[in-house]
Amino acid sequence: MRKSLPLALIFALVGFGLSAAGAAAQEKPRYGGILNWYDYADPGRLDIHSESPLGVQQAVAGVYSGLLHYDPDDPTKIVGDLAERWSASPDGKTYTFHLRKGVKWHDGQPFSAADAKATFDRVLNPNFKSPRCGSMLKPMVASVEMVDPHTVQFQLKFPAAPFVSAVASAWCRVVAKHVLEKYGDLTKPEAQIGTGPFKFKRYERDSVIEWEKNKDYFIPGLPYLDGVKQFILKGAPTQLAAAKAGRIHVWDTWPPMKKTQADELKSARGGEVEVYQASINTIFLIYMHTQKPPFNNPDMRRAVNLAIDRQELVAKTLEGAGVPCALLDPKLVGDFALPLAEVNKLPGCRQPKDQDIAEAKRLVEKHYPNGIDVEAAVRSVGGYIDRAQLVLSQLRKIGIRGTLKTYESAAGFAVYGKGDFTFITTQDRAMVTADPGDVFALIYTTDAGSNWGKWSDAKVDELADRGLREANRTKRAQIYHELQRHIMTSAPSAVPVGWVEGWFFQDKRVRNYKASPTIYDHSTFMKVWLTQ
Amino acid sequence: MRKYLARRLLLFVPTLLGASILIFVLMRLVPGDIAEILVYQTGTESSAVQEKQIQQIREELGLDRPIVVQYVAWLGNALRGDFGYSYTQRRPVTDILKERFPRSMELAFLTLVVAVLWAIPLGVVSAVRQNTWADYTVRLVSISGLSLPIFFTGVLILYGLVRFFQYLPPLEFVAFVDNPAENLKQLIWPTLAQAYYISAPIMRLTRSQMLEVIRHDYVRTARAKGLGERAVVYRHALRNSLLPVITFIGWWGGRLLGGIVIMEIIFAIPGMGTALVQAVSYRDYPTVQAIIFVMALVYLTINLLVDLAYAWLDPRIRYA
Repeated sequence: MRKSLPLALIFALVGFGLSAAGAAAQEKPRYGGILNWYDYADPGRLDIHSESPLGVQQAVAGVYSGLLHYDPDDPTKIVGDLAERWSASPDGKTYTFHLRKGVKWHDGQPFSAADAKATFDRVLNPNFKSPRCGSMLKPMVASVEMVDPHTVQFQLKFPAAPFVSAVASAWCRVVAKHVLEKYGDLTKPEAQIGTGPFKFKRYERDSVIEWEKNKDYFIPGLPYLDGVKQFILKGAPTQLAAAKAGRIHVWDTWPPMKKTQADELKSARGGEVEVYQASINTIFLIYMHTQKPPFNNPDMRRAVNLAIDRQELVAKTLEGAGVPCALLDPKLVGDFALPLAEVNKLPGCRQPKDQDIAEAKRLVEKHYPNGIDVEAAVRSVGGYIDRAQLVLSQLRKIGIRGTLKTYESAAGFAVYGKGDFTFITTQDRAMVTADPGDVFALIYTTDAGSNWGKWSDAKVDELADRGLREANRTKRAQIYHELQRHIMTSAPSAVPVGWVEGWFFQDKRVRNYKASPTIYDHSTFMKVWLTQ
Repeated sequence: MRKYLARRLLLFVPTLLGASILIFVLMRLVPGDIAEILVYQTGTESSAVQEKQIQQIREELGLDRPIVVQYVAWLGNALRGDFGYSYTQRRPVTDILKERFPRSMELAFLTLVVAVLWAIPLGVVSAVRQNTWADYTVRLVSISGLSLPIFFTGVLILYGLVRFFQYLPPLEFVAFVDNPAENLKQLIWPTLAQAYYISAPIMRLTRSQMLEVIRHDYVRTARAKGLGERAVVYRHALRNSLLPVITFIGWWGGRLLGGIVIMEIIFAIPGMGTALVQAVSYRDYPTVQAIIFVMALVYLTINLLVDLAYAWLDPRIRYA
């Protein structure tokens, strides 16, 4: 059984990868070599189930296998990894996974369905903090049972459409029962015993993480590389210097390069690298608190929604790297997204802006004839301050005068999470999977973890829930179209400015590396090889 | 001398206590604690689950207790050499200090040595050859060293190496005891970047002190009695010029610790600076407190050594 993701995804994610794949298909893979890349932060803790930073995912990605994963040859598809095949019951509430036989953990112990059960029992435990895998699966899964040593079965609470995407997520990798029993958790380097293509070799904190080839990997002939080395490079100048000096082979992690950095790299390394623009599955948002004046008034939220010029923000602050206005990005989720032609005619998105600005001004004047001053929060990271300045200048046109209040990165999250704000000028949120329901479950439903503005809309909750349970793809797409139209024409707390893209590079000596639908899913390097 | 030393060492106690209280309170005044930051920055669970998780982490770390109780508990443990447990690194803070402290101190030591070896001779040359091209060059170098922010010099060196020599210092840290050559290959560049900044005021102060001293009568007498110029400058003038310079090096050396944080990040050195930045951003209180405590201790020790150096340089202090 194979589950296909939208075809359009191909264009967004692997435009470059495909051309390289064509070339790679004609070449015979070469064994050996160490692939170098970097991690933007020190992971500190390595428990993939209880942590959420990308740095943790990257640190152990090649060490573990999942029941399912994104096909390394074609990341638009979900295929079996430890599961040879899987099937769903007619009512969509029971999923059975038939596991590979003869798989061994890196310490030589045999892998069985007991390990899979222990893994998912762990993440589903209500007392276990599992912000990625657990948060995806807990609402959907009722129980996990071992049918026999090579079969595991999931009973769902309802026929949940995103279940397969969640199981394939790199955050839901299968871990060893005996390792959990021995160490209690997977925080320490010595507990990194997986079934993946690479063994965890060394972790020098704040310096380097190394994997070495797993010679007993369950797919004969893989991996091609002798190992992978991740330098921990926290400084942006250091990351770029490493790329320019040819010390890293791949830049496909957060943060993406800016256009100016990409140009600098191209001029430094010329034809040795392939630089490309791709999505990072992240949405750029502006938040208003719906329970605090003035944005507890839906008219004021509507005014902001109308006045924000998404096209200008993407063009000027993202150097054009993004999809303005979209609540779902067609490049990422295909026809689940409203066609951009329709989106760009909606109030707030249509150009020119004159009509929308006049209406927004009228709405503000209706409640605040002399305009109003608001405190506008921003985290002082990346290009957020520049974005914030432009947002405030757009709002000044309709009588909303914002005063910027900057927060240090981490403090900002604490302030937003507690709801101690009136207006957030800019904030990105990354999706955990490529499922179109992610953005609604993460930001727009009443109970969403990043619904910082405390917006509650019964229709949104109802449609999001229906979308989650609808197994028929066409009907599901229709539900999400209705949901997008409803959010974009009402007065939400979070105004979608657009989907963020960035620039990345690959050394031309790297073959068979393909980006996945999320930034979390493409770092196993199981089929990657180096020409020299 | 022993009494003096004992008195100075006793002064360490209130100073360290003050520093620890200050950082303890300041860390808790900035918005967000580790529990909120870890949970809210992910933002994937429902708000009810998030609140439960925050409470769980706070209880686990004792952050739900009154601040005074937290401080007394921390101080009691710290006095026994236990600086607590780092929630972000999941290991005892003492392990972090043991791992990181020698690396940062190596960088600080190298920087100070290079800065002093470079700044004092150039300061002397500048004074002795006042208003010549040598003097102008030294003054230009020192003014530019003072003007350029330390992070800018670091990035400039990094980019310059890549741009003009296609060379990047090692990205992987190797301890001096394991491979001295590889270790120095990585550390030499942040050392030079920092030494350039640190040396500038030392150079200028040495120059001005020398200019003052070489006009004194006893220098003229030394020359009159037939001593060579080298002996006059180095044995008589320089030694008498160094007292304020050494005071300044002690004070200025403390500023090194701030620069080290930046250099460690730019040149990927896993020292106390990188650990501190991460700990501050996650509000990892025990780690921040321990690192600041150690930095304060280093600062005080440098100042004590400076005071002791006075006695060596100026017999009047020793005999008094």
